[in-house]
Amino acid sequence: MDILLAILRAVVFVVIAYAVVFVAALVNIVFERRVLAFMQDRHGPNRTGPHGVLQSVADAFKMMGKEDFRPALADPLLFTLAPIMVMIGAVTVQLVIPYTNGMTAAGLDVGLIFIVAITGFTTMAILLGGWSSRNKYSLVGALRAAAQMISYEIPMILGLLIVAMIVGSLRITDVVAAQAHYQWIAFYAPFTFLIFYIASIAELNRGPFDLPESESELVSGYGTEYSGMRFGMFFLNEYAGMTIMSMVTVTLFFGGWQGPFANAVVFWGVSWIGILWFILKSYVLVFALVWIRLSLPRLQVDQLMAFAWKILIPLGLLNILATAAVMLWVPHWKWGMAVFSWVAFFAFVGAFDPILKWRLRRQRDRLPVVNA
Amino acid sequence: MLGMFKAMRTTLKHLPMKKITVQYPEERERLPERSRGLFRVVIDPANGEPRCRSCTLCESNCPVQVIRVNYTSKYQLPVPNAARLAEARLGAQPDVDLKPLQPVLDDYYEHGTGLIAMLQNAQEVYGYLPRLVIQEVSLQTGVSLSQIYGVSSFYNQFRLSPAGKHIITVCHGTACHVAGAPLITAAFSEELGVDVGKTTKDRLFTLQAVSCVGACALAPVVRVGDDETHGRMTSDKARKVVADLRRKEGAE
Repeated sequence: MDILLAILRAVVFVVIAYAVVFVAALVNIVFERRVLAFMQDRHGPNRTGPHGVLQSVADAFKMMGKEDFRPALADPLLFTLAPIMVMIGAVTVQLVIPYTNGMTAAGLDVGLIFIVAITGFTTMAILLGGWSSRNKYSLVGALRAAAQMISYEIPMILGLLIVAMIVGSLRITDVVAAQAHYQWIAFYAPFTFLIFYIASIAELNRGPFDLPESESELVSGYGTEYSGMRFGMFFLNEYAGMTIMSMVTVTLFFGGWQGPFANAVVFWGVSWIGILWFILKSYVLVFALVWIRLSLPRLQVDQLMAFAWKILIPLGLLNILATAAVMLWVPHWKWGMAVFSWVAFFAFVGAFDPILKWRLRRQRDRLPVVNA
Repeated sequence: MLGMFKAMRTTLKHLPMKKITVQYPEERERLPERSRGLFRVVIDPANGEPRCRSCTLCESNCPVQVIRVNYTSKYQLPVPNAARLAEARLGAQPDVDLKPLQPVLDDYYEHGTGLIAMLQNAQEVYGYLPRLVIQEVSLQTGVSLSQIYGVSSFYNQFRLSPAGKHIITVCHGTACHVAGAPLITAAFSEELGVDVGKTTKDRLFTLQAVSCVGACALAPVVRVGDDETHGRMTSDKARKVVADLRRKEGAE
């Protein structure tokens, strides 16, 4: 009987995980298009269904109706496998994320490590897709994606490390529990959150870091040769990734499902109001993703790499060192860390522009003078 | 990073702003008072018929070429345009075979040659531009008939009537004129029995005058066809040229 229940539980959670991915992707596409449009003083898609909410559904049907094209020279197995694999990361990460109190598929003891490990799958799928389609644009896009995701995984891990240090456990439910009573980690470690958030945007290939599929340079990057529903899978993953990554961020830094009255309605051992808080918080972050994407221009490849290796990683390491020092030697270390992290946050935000300007000016001055 | 926040503040400010898009079928902007709006044919109130007589002048004069005259309404001229064209295809000049024209048009489809180049090629094929050929070019390229007619009548190189087998070109440049080109022309005219610019009845000769062939040292100059040039012409030599050509034709 226990085994049957366990199987039922597994099935339910797998269904939920897939449903979250698909629904999130469809919702996010409309959400992003509408928000972008509004910020650009347009209306966006508003004809399909009330306020255009059915636009993604129509698009999905359009995608399915399209020709499933495969280049003659593409590797047939890998080319087919890549769009299937690409979903693994987004679906599996949800195993360790508590949607609400008592609603976690698997409370792994190594949840934080699991998150990092499993998101790497997306990189592999993208690399596979780009490599197998035998197209230079795809390959360049895929290699860019791989380089970018490997580079930005490090600052992301450095951020997660601090969360683990503060909580003292790698278990995600412990992370959430440690943030009870609005002691959200983002308030204690805003600098860590900043590093993590920047890295997570880069991990999503979004916003100012969308080089792997930069339309102006690479047609559409690793997805160039994909069409129809296979392209749809990449597309779905990308947009579902927004929600998934926001869910992870909320869980780690913003108290997860916790909020006012989160435990008010409980049956089947699950706090149902918590789900609402979880979704609300996640979508505030999704909105931030859209907002950042619209506002900031895309980086160059060298700038992207330099930003990860020369700025984020050294600062992340220093951050760990400082946090460790504070935790060791400062009596009320939480307050000490909050002070340190907020100072670091504002110093980083404030010093970023002047240093950048100074560096650019120096670079310009060092350029050879050409008298035409 | 403050600059980025500034950019984000700007974008956020635009979020609740009024949208620029005019959602057409529901919202309509007021047109300016002098807007012409839709073009339509003016109907004569006296007899209820359109004042337009389909002269296609508007079509050829329109600077941006947005007008195409097409008679498909219930107000039609006695013979509708399409029917007229079909009739012209069948009836007029049945001796013109449109088959050799097709490579010329194919060339246009493949390489996008211009109208003038196309007409030149067509003239190379037929020796002149038959009405039927012009109609066919118009039908296939979508350039209006009036415009093709305008082009082909503007440039001297295009002939709208069949030319003779031998085209006799008399130079009327300054040097040739002084050396007596008018007399030479008169001699040819007399010998052939046609005026300048005309073709003999037997379709053997076309007499034409040009401004200069660029051979003043040989003035007065006459060219026959494209590859035969006679210099230092006299009236007698002119008669001899014609006689020689006639004999040659007779021999063949």
